[in-house]
Amino acid sequence: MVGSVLNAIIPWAGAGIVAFYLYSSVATLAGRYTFAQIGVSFLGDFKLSEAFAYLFGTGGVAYGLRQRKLRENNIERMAARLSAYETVQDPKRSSSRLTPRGQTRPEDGT
Amino acid sequence: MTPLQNFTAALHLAFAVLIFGVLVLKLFHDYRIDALRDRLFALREELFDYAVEGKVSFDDPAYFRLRQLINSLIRFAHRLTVTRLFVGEALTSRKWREVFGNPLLDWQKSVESLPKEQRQRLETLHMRVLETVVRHLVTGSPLLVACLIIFVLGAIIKGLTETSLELATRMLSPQLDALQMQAIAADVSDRQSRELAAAH
Repeated sequence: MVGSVLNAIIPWAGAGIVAFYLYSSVATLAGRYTFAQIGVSFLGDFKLSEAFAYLFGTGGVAYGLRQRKLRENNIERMAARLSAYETVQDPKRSSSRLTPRGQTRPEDGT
Repeated sequence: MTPLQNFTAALHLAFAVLIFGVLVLKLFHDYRIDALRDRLFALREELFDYAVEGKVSFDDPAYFRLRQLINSLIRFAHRLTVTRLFVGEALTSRKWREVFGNPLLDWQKSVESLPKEQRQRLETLHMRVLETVVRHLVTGSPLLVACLIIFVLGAIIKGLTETSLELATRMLSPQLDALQMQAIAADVSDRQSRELAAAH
């Protein structure tokens, strides 16, 4: 319980600090610039090299997610066969109780 | 830079930090759990293969308790964190032991009843399971990674110092022999002169 709370607090506290400083900097601009001006300035400030870096990063993440999906499909297809084979050898075989795709069960929490 | 340019630069930085945070705290975090489970599954298969070879029975408590332990670690791999290691253990272990007894002690007792070869094999497997968990914990904490680097550097420096001292001792062996002889001679001479003085 304590571990779960601390594990949740640490990243959220970091996000809160970033949000606070962002809010503070927005407050100093209040009444001087519109959101449209800020948006245009934000997008206009993108350099081509940065855009490629973001594209590269996004591509890498997309590739990783596709690979994970492929691996989970494979686990789902193979795990049942492996389980059946092991049960023949060891009828009292105990299981890890992960989902058929090898993920954490929702009831096991975070 | 105008205030707007300053703000835009800060916004770019915040955006980059945000997506890096998602990468580390969500995607890489999930990958690490999957990698830990994969290593534990490999060890569980090794244990199963050992039983298939007939070296240990599937009904032996030493076998099925170790398998259960590995299964529990696989199932709750997402809960194996350094925070829990230090905070959760201190707060909950006594309560858990009252409720569940001590399954690890039960396992150790059942392993001790096995012949030497089987016992060593299962204990080695158990140690590898624990090493896998420790590796997961250490590599997941920047603080522990820093400690590990300092520890490794310290061990290298200590090893190098010891090796250098050994080498220097071998190289200076003739001179050290002479030094030892001088010390012994001085000591003997001093004792003799004291004995003579006492006799007079």
